[in-house]
Amino acid sequence: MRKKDFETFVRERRWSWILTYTFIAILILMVFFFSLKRVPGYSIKESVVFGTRVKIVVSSKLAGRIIEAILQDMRRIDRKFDPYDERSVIYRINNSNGEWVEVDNEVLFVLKKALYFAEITGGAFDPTVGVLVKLWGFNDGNYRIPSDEEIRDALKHVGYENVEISGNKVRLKNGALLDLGGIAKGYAVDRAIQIAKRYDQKATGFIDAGGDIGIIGPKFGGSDWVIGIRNPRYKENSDETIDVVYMKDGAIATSGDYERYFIKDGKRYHHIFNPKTGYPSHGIISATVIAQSCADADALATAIFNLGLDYSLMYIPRFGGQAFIVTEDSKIHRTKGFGYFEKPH
Amino acid sequence: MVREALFYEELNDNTIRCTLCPHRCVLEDGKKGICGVRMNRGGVLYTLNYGELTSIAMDPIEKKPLFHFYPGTEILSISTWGCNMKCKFCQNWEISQQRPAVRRVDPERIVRIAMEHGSKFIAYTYNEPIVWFEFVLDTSRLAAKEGIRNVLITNGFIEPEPLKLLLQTIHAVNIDLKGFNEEFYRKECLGELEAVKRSIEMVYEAGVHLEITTLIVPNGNDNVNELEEEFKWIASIDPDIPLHISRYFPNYKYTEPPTPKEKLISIYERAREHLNFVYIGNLWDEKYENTYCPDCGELLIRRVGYDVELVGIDEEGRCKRCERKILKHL
Ligand code: SF4
Ligand code: SF4
Repeated sequence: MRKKDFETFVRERRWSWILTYTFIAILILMVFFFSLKRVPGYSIKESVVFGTRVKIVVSSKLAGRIIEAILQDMRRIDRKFDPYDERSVIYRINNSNGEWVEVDNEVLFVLKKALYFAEITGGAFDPTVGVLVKLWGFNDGNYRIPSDEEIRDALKHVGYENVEISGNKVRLKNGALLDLGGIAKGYAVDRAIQIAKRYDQKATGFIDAGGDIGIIGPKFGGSDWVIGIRNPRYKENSDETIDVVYMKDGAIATSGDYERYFIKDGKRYHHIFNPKTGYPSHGIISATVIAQSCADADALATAIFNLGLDYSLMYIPRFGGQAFIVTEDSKIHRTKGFGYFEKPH
Repeated sequence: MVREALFYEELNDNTIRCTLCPHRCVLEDGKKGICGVRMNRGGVLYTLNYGELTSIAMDPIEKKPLFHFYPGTEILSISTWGCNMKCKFCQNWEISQQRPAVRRVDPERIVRIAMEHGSKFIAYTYNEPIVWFEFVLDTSRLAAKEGIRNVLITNGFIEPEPLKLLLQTIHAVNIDLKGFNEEFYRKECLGELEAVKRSIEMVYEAGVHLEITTLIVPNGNDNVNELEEEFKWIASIDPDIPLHISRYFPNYKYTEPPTPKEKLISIYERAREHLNFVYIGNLWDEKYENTYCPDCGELLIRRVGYDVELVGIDEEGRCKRCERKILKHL
């Protein structure tokens, strides 16, 4: 073969190769786009409820309607359980001077759950710390450090034994005040999952209400959601995480001393109270719990602050949760079973 | 959601031993127990079926079977998947030996469903509730608080400590006693007779309502003389314990034809020599489903299918004619 012919031949061959490659590339791209179309897209909406940022992530044919219904229901629960809203049922109970107040099944349900956790944690979780919340100014932001005497007086009105239920009636003894804040928020997340499923059994996604997270269903129908646990000592409004967990279902809630607090004379006073001492609990600065339902996870995360590290590590798994705890000295502790969630499955 | 199991001990190198049932499986990291629903991950035992529901239905309580516990009522019956025994004749193998489609629920949901349906009872049944331990415990605790009575339909193959804990919130139990032959138990069911006997005694001693079911498996556990030992043993605890002799139908890996009617009747008659209340299940013959007074022979409870009529029983649960005590719960 002459040299020129050979070059032409090579050039032509090259062209045909280029054409073949282009064709294959187009084919791959087509397959890629085709498959992309079949992966469900996620609708995301953020809003503010329970005085915190709420994020809803849903994939469903009915995503728009689901998100609307969830937000509406969350606002409803927020109003219903807000102890400082005069129209709320908790306000009514708190201001009935110890008289019986008739409540509906939903209130009974959340209240019984709160009392259940109070009982099993020996009062480490207590829904009657309302008097302390008020005394320290966490209800309206007029923070102050009360005197020992004031605290001693307030403690007389604290204690979940003061809540009495009879049939569908509730009353508070001893001037106790209910504050179902955290557990009501967790309950709202559990409801949100039910709402999503009622609209569409196949819906997937999650709801994050200020650190109370409930999974509607696994990502793209089969993968884990990767959830970061916030570093409790990082800058305000930042998202730096100190751990990640992988979840396809269930719920996770974090309570931290950074959520609501004030600093006086270099000391931090936060919103999680010890019902025995009347002071913000100390020793633990952040507690994360993974549990079946978000209300459970929230109640247990709060309880950890007062149970203390050793008891928490021992008992939280018995109560159906797994815990990740950061102590004052910035050390991380976890129940042994927490490890399961730190790996993808 | 996976959940940490309540009963296990750590051995070494992330190896653990499950202490829920007498298999006491020793599990290396990543291994599942015989039941298929408990798994070691990194030295922690997890249950895989917490909150996983395979069926939920309102049933007549007689269908469980329970004949002397609130006769004629309806009971919310729920089940999950998995079982710690492997009976070759399992009548529920679709859910006991594999994982079918599940629905996720939490204990409150179950209690609420029971209340909404006006059911004062919840039965943990169909597959084996022992391997659903944590869920049954949580649900029964909540239910008991609401005045709901909990019923366990079980093979009784459980260690004493967890059984004791569970019995605190269980009100009635029906235990499957699969004959009186240790070899049959081991070979055909992968269970142990002695362990099941121990559970039966514990349930009785705890004062929890107890009934016993024996499925008669042809060429398996159907030797009448051997069964007589079972009847005598039950009678030695209390001859008033109701015994359900149940007819077997070919299922799963067992292909013998159904138990012949005559066989069932002859076993029934032998049982009656020792026990006061014996019934035959799956035969659909009223005569063997009715309750008669063991003292005076009066017809006390008529059962036609699941139609139940208390004809000869007074409000105190006694025979109207001779006042013999029959029912403690009605
Ligand atoms: S419950 Fe399951 S894992 Fe535990 S001992 Fe029994 S069969 Fe083994
Ligand atoms: S014990 Fe019951 S559920 Fe389990 S394998 Fe045997 S028959 Fe089936």
